[in-house]
Parts: sequence; C-alpha cells; structure tokens
Amino acid sequence: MLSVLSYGRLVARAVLGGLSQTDGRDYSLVTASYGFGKDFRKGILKKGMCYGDDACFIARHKAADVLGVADGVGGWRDYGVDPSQFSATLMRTCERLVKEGRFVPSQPVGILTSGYYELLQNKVPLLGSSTACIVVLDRRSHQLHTCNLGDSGFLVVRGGEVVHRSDEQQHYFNTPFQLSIAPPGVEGVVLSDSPDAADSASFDVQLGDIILTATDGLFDNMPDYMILRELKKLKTTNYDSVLQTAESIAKQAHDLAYDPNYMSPFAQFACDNGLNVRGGKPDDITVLLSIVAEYTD
Amino acid sequence: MLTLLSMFYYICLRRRSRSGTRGEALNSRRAVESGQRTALPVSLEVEQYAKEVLDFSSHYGSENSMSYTMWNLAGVPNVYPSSGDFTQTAVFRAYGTWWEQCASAPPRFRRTPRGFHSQDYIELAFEEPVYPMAVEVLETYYPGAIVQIQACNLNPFSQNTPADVRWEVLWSAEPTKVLTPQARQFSPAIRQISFPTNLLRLEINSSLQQYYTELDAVILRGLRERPILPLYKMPVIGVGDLSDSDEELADMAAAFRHGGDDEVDDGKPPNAGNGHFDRLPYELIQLILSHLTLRDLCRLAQSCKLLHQHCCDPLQYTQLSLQPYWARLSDASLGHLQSRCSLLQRLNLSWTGNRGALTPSGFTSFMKACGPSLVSLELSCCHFLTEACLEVLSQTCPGLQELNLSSCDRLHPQAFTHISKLTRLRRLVLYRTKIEVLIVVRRLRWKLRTQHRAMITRRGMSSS
Repeated sequence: MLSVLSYGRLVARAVLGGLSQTDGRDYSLVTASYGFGKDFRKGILKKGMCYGDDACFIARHKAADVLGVADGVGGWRDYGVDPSQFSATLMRTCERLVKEGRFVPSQPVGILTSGYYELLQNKVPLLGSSTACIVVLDRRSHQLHTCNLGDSGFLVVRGGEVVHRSDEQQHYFNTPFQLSIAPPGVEGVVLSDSPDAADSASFDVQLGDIILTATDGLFDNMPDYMILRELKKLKTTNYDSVLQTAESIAKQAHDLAYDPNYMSPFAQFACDNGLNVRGGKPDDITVLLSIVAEYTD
Repeated sequence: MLTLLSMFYYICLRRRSRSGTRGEALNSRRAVESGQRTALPVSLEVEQYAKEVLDFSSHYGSENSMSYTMWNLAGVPNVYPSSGDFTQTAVFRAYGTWWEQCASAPPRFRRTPRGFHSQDYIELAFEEPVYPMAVEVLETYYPGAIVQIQACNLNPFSQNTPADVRWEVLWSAEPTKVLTPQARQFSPAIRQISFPTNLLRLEINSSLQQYYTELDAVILRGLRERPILPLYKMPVIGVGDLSDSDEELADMAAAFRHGGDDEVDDGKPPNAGNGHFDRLPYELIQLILSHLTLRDLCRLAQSCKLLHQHCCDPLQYTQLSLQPYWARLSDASLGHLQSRCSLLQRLNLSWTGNRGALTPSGFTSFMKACGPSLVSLELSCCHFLTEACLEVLSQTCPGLQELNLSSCDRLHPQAFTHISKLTRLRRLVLYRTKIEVLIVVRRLRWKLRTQHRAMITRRGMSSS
C-alpha cells in the first residue's frame, strides 16, 4: 500500500515535472510599480520612479532582472535637506550599474556598495540618508538573491502563502538601518550604516512565484492576510494584471494609512512598545510587484 | 509494472534543452537609408555612436568608478540635451590655467609649434569603418574645448594592421571661449579623407574654460563606400586648416629621415659662399636658430653645410619636445636625432610611440645616447614602455630629477621598483598607473628630496 502511494507520488511528480519542462529555460520578472507620496504628490515622477521620499528602479540585464526600493529618511527635512534626492540618486545609480553590467548577480550587496560609493564621487555634495532593498533574479540559475538594509523589504508568495520574507533592521523604534551622507564635520553624530550591514539571502524560485518589494509604508499599514488576499487575485503573468494588482494593494494601503481607528501593524508594534496609539501610518508607499515568468525578448 | 513505471518516469523527466533567444548586446549602430540624397542615391549612410573608448590621457573620476570617467563617452548619450554637471558624462582632469600656474607644473618646452594646443586626448573606436562625412560631439557643460579631431586608418577590432599607421587631421582650430555653458551639438566641417576609418581621436584644450568641460557622446556619420568622384574633391585647405595639416606632418617625417644625412656637396670648403652668414658669430646664428620649431630646424639642416653644422649642434637640443609630433614619430626618427642629443636635459616623449611606432629597443638605445645629461623626462601615455625600459632608464639617467609616467597603465607594478634607483628624483608623477602602495612604501625608502608631492591614483576608490 505504502509503496503504491510512494510510486504514485513519484509518477505524479514525473508527469508534472516532464510536462512543465522548466529547467532549461531562463526566468524573468514581470514587474509593475505603483505608489503614493505622503503629501499627495503622486504624479510627479522624476527619472527612476519616485513616490514622495521613496524611490525605486526596475532594470533588465542579459543575465539578471534587478529591482530596488529605497526609502528616504524624512528627518533631514528639518535641517533643510530634501530627503528624496538621496534615495532617488541611489536608485538611479544602482540602475545604471545594472544596465552597464557592473555587478555580480549573486551578490546584490555589491550593487548597493558600488552605488553608495558612486554617490560619494558626486561633485555636488548629496546629503541625506535612506534604507535600501535590492532583489536580483538570476535568469539561468533560477535563484533570487536579495539584500536588505533597513525597514523596507520583500515577500515571496507561492501558492497563496508567504515562503520568504525579509527582516526589518532597526536601531530603535522608527529608526531603521540607513545609508547616509552627512555634511562634513558632523559625520560622528549622524547615523550611518555601512552597506556591509545589509542582510543577504538567496533562494530558489519557481514559475508563478510572486515577489512583493515595498517600503515600510505598505508593511506598516497592511497586515499579511490582506496582502495575500489581494495577491490571490493575480492569476496571469501579463503586465496589465500585475499593474492592476499593485495598484489595488497600494490604494488599499493608502486608504488604511489615513484611517484613524484602524489597528495597523505599526500601531500594534507601537502598543507593544508602550505607546498607546491607533490608526494607520501616513507614509510614502511604494509597491513593486513582480511575478516570475519565462524569459522572452 | 515496476519497469513500466520507471520507464515512464525516465521519459517524462528527460530534459529537452531549448535554446532561448538572447537579446542583443548594446547595439550602437543604426543604418539610415538616405533616399533623400539625390546626389548619392545608392550609397548607405551609417550613423554610429562610439563603441569603445580605447585610450585617453586623463579623467576626473576614479579608475573603478563610472562617475565622470572617460568610459561614459562610449554609447548613446546619457544626459544630452540637458546642461549641467552630471556624473554620467566624460570629464577631463583639469580646466583653466591653474594646472600650469601651480608650483609643481613643468615649465613650457621651447620650440612648441604654434598650432599645437592639445592638452588631453581621447581615442574612440566605432563599430564599422566608414568614410567620414560628419563628426558630431554632444557636449553638455562648458563646451568648446575640442581643438582637433583626427582619424586613423587602423581598425582596432581587426587582426590585420596596415603597413603604415596614419593619422589624418579631420578638423583643427585654435581654442576659443564659448560664452554660455549650455549643452550643444558640436559638428565642425571636416575634411574628406582617402581611407575608411573607425578610430577617431579628439584632442582637447580647456585652458580658456571656466569650469570642467563635459562630453556625453560622439556620433560618426559616414559612407560605407568611397564617395563617387565628382563629389570627392581633393582636400580643400580651409580656414580651419592650420599648420598641423597633413603635408606639414609628412614633411616632418621626411625631415627626420633626411635631416641628419643629407649634405649639400658643392665642392667649396665649409664656411664660405654662405653670404653674410659667414660673417656672423657662431653664437649669434645659434641664437637665431633657437627660435625655430623642430620641423624647421630639421629642414634648415638640409640647406647648406654651415647651417647643417649649426642645426646639428647639440646645444640646440637641450630641450626636446616630441609630443606635437606624436603621430609621425618612429624608431628611425629617434635614431636620427640621437646624434644631436648628447646634451639633452629635458625630453618630452608624451603620447608618442603607440600602436607600434616606437619599440622598447629604439627607446632604450636613444636613452643610452642621451641619458647621462637628462634632468627631466615626460613619458605620459607612453604605452610602449616595458619594465626593461624602466630598468634602462634607471641605469642610464642617474641625474634624473623629474619623471612623469602618468597614464602608463600597461606597466606592471613590479616595473616601478626600478625607479628607486633614481636617487635625485624631485618630482614624480604616477597618475593612473598600476603602482601598488605596498611597493611604494617598501622599496622607495630612499631620501626623496621631494619639493612636490607625488601624484598617485590608487586603483581603489579615491585619488590623492
């Protein structure tokens, strides 16, 4: 009886494996982005897709597809520095690095490090700081390489369940790990983490896996079950449906953020830390939704 | 049953490899059907962006960076038509005159020809050799620094090299000051040349610029086939053609070849039959000749025996700058100059000898002849140099005080250990070389009476 079952499972796996015939092909990510700036500045798209102080990029290379999000730390505004500049330039620089092939797909930390050091080469001093999260899909090896510094992050969803997620990196409440460039003289005072402090992870992906990369504006307002509920509606791999799903997720998060009575994950975490608050967290929301599909030119 | 199942398993799991299509690499060429040209109905005009940057003398960015480095000049434009300071452009290292005014700058060489203004250069290779009709440079900030555009008959991507490597000047002008720093597309009127080319060289002079000049892309427009004869006139000497034209350079080569050997034999004893020149004191004629350019000096040596004696006097060759003649200099030229250079104190061989024009043996024999008195040596961008050359240098030039090896990036780190034998060095430039800091610390422990700090660019992130 047992042997019949085990052989039956073998046959089923063989049939399914043979029919799908995935191993020889290259994978790619069909990605759409959507987001909202905190002060309703949606629609102002600088180069490289910026939503408020957040920025993101989507880049294709022969060997890999690369996504990135960066969340500019808003505290710089009090000192007269525009926080969106740093994150936008960081993402643009990483995109350029990818397009020119100056990266190794299995080490996304290298992209972050090179991008950060390229920012230091700028003649006009670029002040500010931001978190960063970079996701690289290696086409040939079907592996997803990720690195995350700060409280942005990603989810990998397979069959309606979260199979991988990133961890938030925080120094203390509402102070994530961040790459920063400070004015000369105050470098000791300003919080600045090295790109080496980023968390790296690599894992296999399959066709149909959904990868959601977002800044904390999404994860702090929308718990997992709501996100998964939206992602269940994504059935195909064409760009329009991915865009539609990303849009619905971002809009929902945006609505929840301004709901004063809703117990958002952010409010929950604050309560756990002794702060008695309710409601959403108004913040810039950036959502990059990707689905793993086969590579076509 | 078992065998049936295992066979089924095997068949289903057999992988069928499928070759997917791969996207093309960055394609930099567009072929444009020019049907509108009524004069050339059949020919195909090709418009290309630069494919690769082969060589350059300096850049603002660091070696491992992509900000403000010369490699940004290849490919499609990143920034144009925006104006301003962007990291995605190609920027040279200096602007204005402060590099020449600072204390460590070498004094200007005498006898610099008036038409030679170039301070920096960059060599670009394109995909396909064409007969050039237009060269357009997209400049994005403080334009106007380009002073010369040249084309070479060598195809850097093919294995066969032509018998003689020739550089022809497509366009040349004096440095001018452009009033606005705004971006512009610079498209000078270029000469027609007789060979197809895919290797261009831009020479820059930014001494009149107020800030760094920034370049974004270069477009080469040309025809695949030689233009038909009625339109292909002989080269017109236009306003842009100055003394560095092709004829003068060819004369330069001829002068180098024959200047040392030809003598006018008219049977008369020397110092007679030369008119008033016989009555002038020796030193006065020397003073007169000291104002001539090198090319004129070599030509003058062919005129009569007296002037030949004057022109070959080693006292005329205490300073020798061969940089303006880099395109024509060869081992033979050095060989002919060798006999006059026994009192040579300052030598400038920057930019010379590339693509096989000078060999290490030619260089070393020249150094053996004129090394003992040499005080200052400029070898910027000399890619023919090898470790053996540096070794000979250290042996034959004990009195060397100034050495410039900037952009000699083909030399291995070990080659620089020979420099430690030059005990009198006061100024050493190692910009963009592969020197390793450990070697510098370990080997160069001699008492360096440096008045001016060595300039080193590490292969890491910063330059100091």
